[in-house]
Amino acid sequence: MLTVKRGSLWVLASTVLIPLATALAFWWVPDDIDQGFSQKIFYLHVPVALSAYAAFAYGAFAAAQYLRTRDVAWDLRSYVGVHVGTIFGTLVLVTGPIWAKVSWGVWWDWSDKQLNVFLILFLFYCAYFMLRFSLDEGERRAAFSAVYVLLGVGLIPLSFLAVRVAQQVLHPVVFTRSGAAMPGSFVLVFLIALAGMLSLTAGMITLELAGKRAAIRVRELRRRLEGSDL
Amino acid sequence: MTLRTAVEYVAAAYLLAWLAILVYMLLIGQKLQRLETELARVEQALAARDAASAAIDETAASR
Repeated sequence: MLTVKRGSLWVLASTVLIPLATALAFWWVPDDIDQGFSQKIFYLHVPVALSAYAAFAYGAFAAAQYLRTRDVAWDLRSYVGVHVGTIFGTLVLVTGPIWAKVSWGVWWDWSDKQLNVFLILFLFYCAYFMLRFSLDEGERRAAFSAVYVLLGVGLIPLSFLAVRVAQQVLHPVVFTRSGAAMPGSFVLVFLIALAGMLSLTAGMITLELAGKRAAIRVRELRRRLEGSDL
Repeated sequence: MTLRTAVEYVAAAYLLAWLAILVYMLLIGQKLQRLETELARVEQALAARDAASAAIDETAASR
């Protein structure tokens, strides 16, 4: 239960940081000159998107580790990373269109490359579950899943770069090579929100992993118990 | 877009995201609690079975 405690600590940190960032975003940071009040979604949407990328990247790292070591623990970690990434991906696809509607007047813009690449990334990882659960549990399933996750991770830098290489830019580019294109107070609150959201991601991954491990242990013990009754 | 509309949209985004996270955390908390109880129950049943079979073995050996 040490893992659960660690996961709870991450979640606890996020319950302090996320409300703090939200309070600062609403009552301390001034409204953006261009977007006005609607820019406040930035402090939610962008950290959530970066958390989705982080969870997918963790899933890919674990998948690579599985292929290297063939240790099933890494397969489980990879699965949980994709699982949590998909949850954050869903939140990105909920908060993003709301921001788009209030800023651009439309829920979705099919000409925006970053939106489309993110949607492809999300659907790609949704299909991961179909692949995984269509195969019987074992080494073959773990290997196929790991390769699939690694193929998908290539979309992350593409999604990140899409907005920078796009010719018709609706999606704002905030972080450039020359630094953040926004005032210091905006950056500070954003960093607090990002730390909170990443803590939540770490907590969710840790707790999910603890749950999955406990479920496997229960299944093994039940099998032993039932085996003895035969 | 008016300020009132912007506030409504921003509030909707925050509320939806927080609600989703809260529901997820409640579900995972419930699942962990259920698994912990189940694990303790199965471990207890296994320990009882092992103790019973050890007692049978001991009785057979003493005869």
